[in-house]
Amino acid sequence: MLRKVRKPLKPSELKMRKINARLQELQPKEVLERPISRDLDYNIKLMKDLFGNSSDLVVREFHFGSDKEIRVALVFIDGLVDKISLSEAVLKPLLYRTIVDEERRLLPGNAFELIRDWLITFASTKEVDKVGDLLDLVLAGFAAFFVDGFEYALAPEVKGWKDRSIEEPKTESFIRGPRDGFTETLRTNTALIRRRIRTPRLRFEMYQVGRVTKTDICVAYVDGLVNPATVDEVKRRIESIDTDSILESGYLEDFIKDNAWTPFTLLDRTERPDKVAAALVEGRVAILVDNTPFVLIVPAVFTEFLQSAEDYYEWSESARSLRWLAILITLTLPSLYVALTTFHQEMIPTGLALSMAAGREGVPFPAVMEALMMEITFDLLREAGTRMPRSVGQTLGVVGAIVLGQAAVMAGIVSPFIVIVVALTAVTSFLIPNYSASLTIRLLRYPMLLLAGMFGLVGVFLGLMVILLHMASLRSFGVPYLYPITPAVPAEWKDVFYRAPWWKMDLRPLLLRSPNRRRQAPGQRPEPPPVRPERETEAVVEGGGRKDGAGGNRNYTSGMENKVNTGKGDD
Amino acid sequence: MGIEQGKISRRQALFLVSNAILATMVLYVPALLAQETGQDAWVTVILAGAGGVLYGAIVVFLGARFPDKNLVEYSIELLGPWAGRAVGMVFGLFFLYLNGVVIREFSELLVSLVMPETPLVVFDILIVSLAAYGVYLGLEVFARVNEILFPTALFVGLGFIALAIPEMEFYHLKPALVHSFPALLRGSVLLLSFYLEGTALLMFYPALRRPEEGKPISYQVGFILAIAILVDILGVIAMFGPEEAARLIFPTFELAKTVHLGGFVERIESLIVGIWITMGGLKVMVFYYVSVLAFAESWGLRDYRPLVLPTGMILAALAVLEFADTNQIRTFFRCVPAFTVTVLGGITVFLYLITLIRAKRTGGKTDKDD
Amino acid sequence: MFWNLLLVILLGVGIALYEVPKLLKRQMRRELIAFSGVLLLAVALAVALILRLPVPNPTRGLEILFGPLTRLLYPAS
Repeated sequence: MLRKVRKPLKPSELKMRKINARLQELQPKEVLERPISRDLDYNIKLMKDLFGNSSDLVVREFHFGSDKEIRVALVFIDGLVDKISLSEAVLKPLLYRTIVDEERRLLPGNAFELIRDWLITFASTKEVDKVGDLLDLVLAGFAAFFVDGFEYALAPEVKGWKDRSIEEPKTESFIRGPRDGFTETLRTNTALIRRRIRTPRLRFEMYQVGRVTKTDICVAYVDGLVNPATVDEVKRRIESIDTDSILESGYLEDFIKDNAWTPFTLLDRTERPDKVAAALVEGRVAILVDNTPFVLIVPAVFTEFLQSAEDYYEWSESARSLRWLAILITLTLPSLYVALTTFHQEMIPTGLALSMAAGREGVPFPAVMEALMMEITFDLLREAGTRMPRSVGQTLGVVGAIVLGQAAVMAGIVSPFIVIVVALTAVTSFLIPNYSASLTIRLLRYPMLLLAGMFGLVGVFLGLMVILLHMASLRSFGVPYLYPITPAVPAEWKDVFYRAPWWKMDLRPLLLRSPNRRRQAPGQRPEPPPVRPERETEAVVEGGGRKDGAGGNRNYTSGMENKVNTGKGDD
Repeated sequence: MGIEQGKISRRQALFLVSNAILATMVLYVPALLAQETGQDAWVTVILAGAGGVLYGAIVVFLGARFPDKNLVEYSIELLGPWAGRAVGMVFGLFFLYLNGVVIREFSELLVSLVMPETPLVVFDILIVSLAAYGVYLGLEVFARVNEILFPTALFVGLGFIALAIPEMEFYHLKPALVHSFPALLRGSVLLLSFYLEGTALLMFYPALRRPEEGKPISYQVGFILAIAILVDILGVIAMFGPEEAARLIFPTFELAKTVHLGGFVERIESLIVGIWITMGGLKVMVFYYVSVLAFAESWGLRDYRPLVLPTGMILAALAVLEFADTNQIRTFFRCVPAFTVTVLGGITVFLYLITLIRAKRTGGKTDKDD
Repeated sequence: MFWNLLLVILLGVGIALYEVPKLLKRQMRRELIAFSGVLLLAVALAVALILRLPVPNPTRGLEILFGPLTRLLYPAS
């Protein structure tokens, strides 16, 4: 620790420079900057050298023109290109049409221009003159097309690879709601979002991260609804990443979250396009990563992890409060059990206390040990269950339930009550819709258990206080993690502890700082049409039905008058 | 430019102050007041409430007068570097000492009521560690936590008293206004001395997001506290009668003991411990923060965080050192009004007067509040 | 007693190890001095308490200081 003092900043800078130099070595700058040569043989050799004769690199040389005097070479990666479109749109015209029309004959001198302008019938084709750029394109699924004697290469976008079709998301399946989920292809995913938000202000900005993997990362937001500062911050954090690989959004998550050491997840992630669309419209930013169906959503606050997108489709009033109860049970029930049986037996009603004592009779461990053992056992089972091949999953259930539960009780190792407690926490922990949040809460049970074992109820409350303090200190892209509970915005609790009907949620969340806070016209509460003996003037309708007209709010787009009238038309 | 960079809302400041005062008030005031003024305690509460609001007006006057400075900063500005720093040190030491008392009280409470076999030092260290964590995270963080926990604790506490109503005997409250006026006045001075702890606000007043709108805090605090303590003390007296209430050490806790629900839920008073841990822990955090910040400002430091952990050690030691036994706490509580009123009231009123004189000398309202 | 002493010393060293590098890195000399002073005082106080050395009790002093005023307020006690 003293080393840092003795030496000023310079050596560390030097060290950084050395590290940077080593990072560059994998792809020497010198080669990437090299222009494409006029010499076809040289280009072919260069490509082959760069790929080291890798088996999926296809280099096809051929001659064409009326006298076969034009030499060209096609380079692509097998498996990344759609061979049918490649041969239909690129190869066929070249091989069969040697004459474009009367004036234009393919000659070695004009071959490149003619091929580019007349022969390649592919929608998106790029022209490059640097080896580095060409490499990037080839690796992304373009084909490279060299013509002898020209220092350019053509790269038609003939991407096409084996792709998973759009399926129902495995981790978030709903009873009611759309059934499409993201896939591993970034383009498909952006299209799924675009189909839901038809505004040109929906923006997808691309980045490439990963020196080796060159992963495409896409920052999505709706311009005009999102806080520009948030977008800038997201971009800044993504741009500052310098790593070799991003294989899943989890890699990215670790690099861009606000607080490095916290068990809580500071970004939301989902497989559902509808959820992403809802977040974007609310003024959040989504980060899509190529090769994974999981999309990150920022900023994320804790209360969101207790909201399921389905809450907004199928209105069930109790779901939210049940989840809050579940989180409380998961976190505290085992530790309360330990605290009560060890230190505060008098709090348990007498009848129950007697049967609990009877149940614990002969159990050789203190309650903490008992609870810890059972909780760890449960976590072992759960972990085994997730890694296990599906076909043996059944066995696990039997082993868990009968062998570890019933047998342990009968053998007198644990009391039946702790089995109930552990089973209950197991169930409740799955009520938390967000998997990462559920893992966090489950993890926090252990310190809570230890505290309860040492200090009883005092320990439980102390533990809760520490957790609360920690959560209050977290931020996700500038938004306090416990918002809107605290800093309290009571007006927004209608979407936290229960789910208010849509016509009540007129404003976007305050601390997302959207430049356009109003989501919809106010006062859209549906009401039965007023009973009227005979048709009167329209003025009465306007006054009686929906309370306020389009008064004073400029920012939303809706025709209030239309709605007012259609609501009343048929009585 | 102060040390504290965080910002809090007015509600958060209000709850912080209310919690800081109420946490110990509910512990000791009912017994002390029952002894002093018995069933006439409500008069005391009103008198003390009036005094508290008046004092609060002085406090928020100072706060709004120097909206970007805390107490130590403007005492340095008003009194010059040496005297100003001395005031800052006295302020910090006062809260350090009082915090030791508070920690000791809570440790005693936990030991005597919940876990008699555990040594006191254990709870002492636990509470200080919790508070140190909170203070280290900063004003913003524990103000936020307080913002949800204080109303919750208040709600649960009032719920307990409401559940105890069936057991109460309201004839205990009967002969009204039998105590002499001096006795009532003495009682209200006692109560007022707790109100004075609200001076802590002046250390985080500049952290208010809109300091110019902070003035209502004074009477809002007075209102919340008056209601809470009135309900508490009337409940205690109606339950036990003034004589027995005066004999009990923690009457509020005894009140909670009588609560039972439908013959199934009984003896849930341990849950009260939860309330006190949250309220007490947050109170300790506020005092801790105030003293550390006052030290840092007095010594001209750029950050108070380096002082947090060592001060925590001192706090834990102080809590043990301050009293030989529970008896000394009881006798010391006789001293508290004189102590608090002299130090806190003295500093505040002194600064207030100096501000007024300064304003007059420079020609009334020429210097703006900016 | 020995263990308590060791614990206190370790705690002091731990706090120093946690704070000092940060202070040095931010080049806060004044803060470093204040930190060291308070930490030494804290460790000394804790050690004195554990060894049961006669530490002046601040409460006693306050009782003497504010006793007269208190008796004025509450003549009964």
